[in-house]
Amino acid sequence: MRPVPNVQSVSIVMIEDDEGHARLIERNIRRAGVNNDIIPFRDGTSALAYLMGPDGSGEASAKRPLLILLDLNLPDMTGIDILEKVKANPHTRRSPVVVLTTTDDSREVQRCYDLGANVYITKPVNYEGFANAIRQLGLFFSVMQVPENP
Amino acid sequence: MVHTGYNPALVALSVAIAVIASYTALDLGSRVRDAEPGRRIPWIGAAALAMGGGIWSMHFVGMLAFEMGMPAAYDTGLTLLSLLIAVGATGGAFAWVSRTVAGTRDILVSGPLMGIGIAGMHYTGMAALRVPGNLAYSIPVVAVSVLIAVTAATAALWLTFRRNEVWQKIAAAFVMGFAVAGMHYTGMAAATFTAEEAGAHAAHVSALAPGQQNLALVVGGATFLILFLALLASSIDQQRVQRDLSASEARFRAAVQAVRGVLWTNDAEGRMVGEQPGWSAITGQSREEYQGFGWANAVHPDDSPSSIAAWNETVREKRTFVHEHRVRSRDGTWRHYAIRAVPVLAPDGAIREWVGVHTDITEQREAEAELRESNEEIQRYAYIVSHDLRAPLVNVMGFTSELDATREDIRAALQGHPQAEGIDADLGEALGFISAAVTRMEGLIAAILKLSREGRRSFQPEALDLKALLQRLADAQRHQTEAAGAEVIVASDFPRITADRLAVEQIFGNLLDNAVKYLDPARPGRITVTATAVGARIRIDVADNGRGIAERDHARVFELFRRSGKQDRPGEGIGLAHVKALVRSLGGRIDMTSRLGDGTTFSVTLPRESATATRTGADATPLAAE
Repeated sequence: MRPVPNVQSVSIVMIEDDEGHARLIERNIRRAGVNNDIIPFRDGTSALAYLMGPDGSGEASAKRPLLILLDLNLPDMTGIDILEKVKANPHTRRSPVVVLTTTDDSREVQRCYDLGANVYITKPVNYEGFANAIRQLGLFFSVMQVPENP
Repeated sequence: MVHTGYNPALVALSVAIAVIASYTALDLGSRVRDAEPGRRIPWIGAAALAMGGGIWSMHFVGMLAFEMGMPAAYDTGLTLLSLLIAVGATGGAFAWVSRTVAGTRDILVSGPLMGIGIAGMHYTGMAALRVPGNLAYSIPVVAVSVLIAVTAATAALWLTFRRNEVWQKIAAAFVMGFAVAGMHYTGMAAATFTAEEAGAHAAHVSALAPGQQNLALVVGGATFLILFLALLASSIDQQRVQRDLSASEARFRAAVQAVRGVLWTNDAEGRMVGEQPGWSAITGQSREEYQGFGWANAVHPDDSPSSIAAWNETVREKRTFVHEHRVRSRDGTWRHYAIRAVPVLAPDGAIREWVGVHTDITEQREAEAELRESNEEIQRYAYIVSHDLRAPLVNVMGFTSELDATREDIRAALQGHPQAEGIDADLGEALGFISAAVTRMEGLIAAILKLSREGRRSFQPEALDLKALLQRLADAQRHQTEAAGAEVIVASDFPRITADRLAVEQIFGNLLDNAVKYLDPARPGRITVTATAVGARIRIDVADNGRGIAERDHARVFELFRRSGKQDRPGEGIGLAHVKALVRSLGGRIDMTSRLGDGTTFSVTLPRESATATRTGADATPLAAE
């Protein structure tokens, strides 16, 4: 697999409570040739702690190019809460957020885009579809530009 | 010229007869209008007999009071005719004025008729008089006498048929008595008697003269007796009317007790007047507080503009008022009431007052709200469960595929192993079963999810051309229909309906699809779609001559994942459950009649006007936890 130099420094923050899903996502992203760091979180609290830093100001994420993979169904909060906070904070709002979840409810989809989500993907149950979607997402990651946070 | 004079006692008797006969006749006549249809004729007859007989008897006594100094005799035929004229004319007058459709103007027909009857009787009676001499009339005075009869009779009828108060009845009787007696004595004043050579008739009339006074008393007495009996009959009837009235009052009081609600009355404009114990009991308002439009202060401010608008419209249209609003109770809490008020109309069609009932439906409303809540909870539950079931399924499916991919590595590693092929086959079989089961489970979850979504969908009711819609659905299936050698017949006549297009399409698409799918290969398929209006709803029947459904499966076919009969057609047992959920969401119902081997009819009853328009996205609970 060929390395993708321009996104080498971008870290992927994966917020996904289902360990199996996390593993499957990771495998398929790797299969697409994306070798970036993947930082997994299994609940909203720890993910927010990482993104906003210990002081909660978000300065911890400044100058840190991040790409966020977000599941909406988390044990301690909904992904929408995280999306809102990320898009409201000046230090994190430029980070692309990919919502990757099981629901395809149209109102949920609209709400996420309204709040500033960059991509919304429904996890197909059928594995081939799932693997395909993630691999394509990986390909997309390998060509997209992720800005540094201010 | 013959010297004439009057016996004052007999004159007084004649006037008394006229007044009392008038009273009796008017009393009887005024009963006609309220009598049951079959009993009108006897009342009219009795009134006519009293009046006509009274006029005649007054005339006869009046004649006996007349002292003309020569013998007089009466022609029987003409005397009888004069009685018939009096009875006939007054009977006609009463019949005309007491028709149920009669108005004030009809008195202008009956009054003159009665007046002419009185005059006709008098002059016919005079013609029956046989005296030894000549009788001449002064035309102007005759005209005055007729005028008196017509005017007074009209006035008397007018008084009688306006209102039935006793003093008015008595006044009417005096006016009518004046019509009769006044006419008679004016008519007599118009007559001039000239004696002929005496003797010609004297022989046979002389016998009459001595008994004149006695005869007058006998006639008067008989008349009074008849009138008395008539009044007695009338008063017995009056008692019956009173009994009916008090029975109906008692019924009304019982109804007030029996109704589960609070009774009130308003005047025509909607003002509360008088004691309103019921209203006072629920609101705690005193009479000073509720009277006039004060009652409106107890209505919830949010409900009062709509209540006032609805009330004004109802008053304008004079129809039953049906409304719901909240009313402040004695303890300050708000309670929901259903209101029904009926206008009580006066004979002229104007509203006299309103009688209304407030029924407390707070508990009903609360139960409905609870039901709605628990319904929503069930739907939320189905939705969440189906999503939560999906997440592990992604893992099962995903790692099964991963395992499948690993099979290649295992195969390579086991190369040369004696059982390599067996192990690979076992592995393949197990993986195959797992993925088949997962695929099936995914289908089931998707079905539950779809059903729960239908329950939460917001409907957009629109006017639908059902005929065109159904024909389009039938055409869309033409391919399958023709392949099965069947035909779908959509009736030409469909009432208009307002409903959500997609939901209606899904309902009938499913039913038609089922009908085509489960035809009996033994006979050519025939599917008919017809509609019948049932009040504010319409019933649409989709009937087929297919294989039918066994009785024990009749309830089951509407259940999710259940199917009936030979399992030789593709399907998951979702269609009818889906149809039932949709029909219910549209406020309708679905029924089925079927005989195994004969065919099946599905009857969908839908409201013509959509009642489900209120279910919008706004009150669906947000489901963030996905």
